[in-house]
Amino acid sequence: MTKKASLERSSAHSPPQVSGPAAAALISAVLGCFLMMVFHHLGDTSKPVAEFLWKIGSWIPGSETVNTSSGEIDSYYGKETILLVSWLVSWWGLHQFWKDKQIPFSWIFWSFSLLVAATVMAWHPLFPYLKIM
Amino acid sequence: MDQIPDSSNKTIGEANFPRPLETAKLSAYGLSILVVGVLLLLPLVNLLHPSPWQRSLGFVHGIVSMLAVMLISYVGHLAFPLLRGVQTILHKAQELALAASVFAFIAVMTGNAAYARYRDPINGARAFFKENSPLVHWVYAESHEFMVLFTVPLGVAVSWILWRYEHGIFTSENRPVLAATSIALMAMMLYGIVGLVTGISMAKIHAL
Repeated sequence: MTKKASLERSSAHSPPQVSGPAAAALISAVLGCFLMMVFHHLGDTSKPVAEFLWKIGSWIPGSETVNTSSGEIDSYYGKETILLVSWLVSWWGLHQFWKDKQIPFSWIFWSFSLLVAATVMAWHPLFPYLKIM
Repeated sequence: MDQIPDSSNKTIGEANFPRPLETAKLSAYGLSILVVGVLLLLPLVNLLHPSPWQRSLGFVHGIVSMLAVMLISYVGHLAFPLLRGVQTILHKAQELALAASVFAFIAVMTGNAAYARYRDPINGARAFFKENSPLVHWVYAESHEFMVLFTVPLGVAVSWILWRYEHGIFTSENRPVLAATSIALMAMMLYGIVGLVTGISMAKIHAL
């Protein structure tokens, strides 16, 4: 191994001195959760969005079933796909931009408000357009 | 009681009897292990259920979810000493965060498997809830379906940060990173426990 490669390898494995990589990891996780909940509500209020979600979730086994003793998963797998894709893509993108940067703690802190919003969006009574029988 | 005086003025009976502290420690450890062991046996009750889906899908999902929440709770509690800068627990936190993330993912997969049966329009649990207890569907089920999913990205993010930053997370420059990671760990614990409680609540009212 050349000296340059050895230095590069050791710097790649030394802990980061900036918050950028951690911010990318945390904010992308929060963003994924938030976007999933946004699409959950969009899917419940719009048929085209629901069909889109069903289509993009069809790669997960069990999305469509002919078994008469079980129901259709509907658009749920599509919402999981939204979570997975938005989380991983945003993580990759943010990491590329922020890997050598110091990100203010306030950015990470306020991104947790998206997590709070995602949590609130999982509780039905706050969204009266969903019917209660 | 035999009274053979010795230099400490104790009887033979008192000399051979364990000290209160040892008795207390043995009792505390033993009882804790027994109680946790019994609690872990709870998902086995699914094997006695008349529904074949509850005996298969419900049992597997129950076991995996219970293990996932145990790991999530264990590592979630490590967030507090981590936040205070206790470096000795870092390796335990790294390994547990990774294990918790893996088990959370497996719990989600097994939950997906059970979800199709849950949604059976004729005699599935969802149809029963909508007919008889709509709040369970609209509040418990909806929140369960989504809040448990939050544990996976949070767990993976925390695991990655702990492994990547290693002891560097305890430096003064990375103090905000440590704080944010600890908060994320606590959030993961919250979602894991809420997920378990809502899931068990639903199964209590109607099984698969």
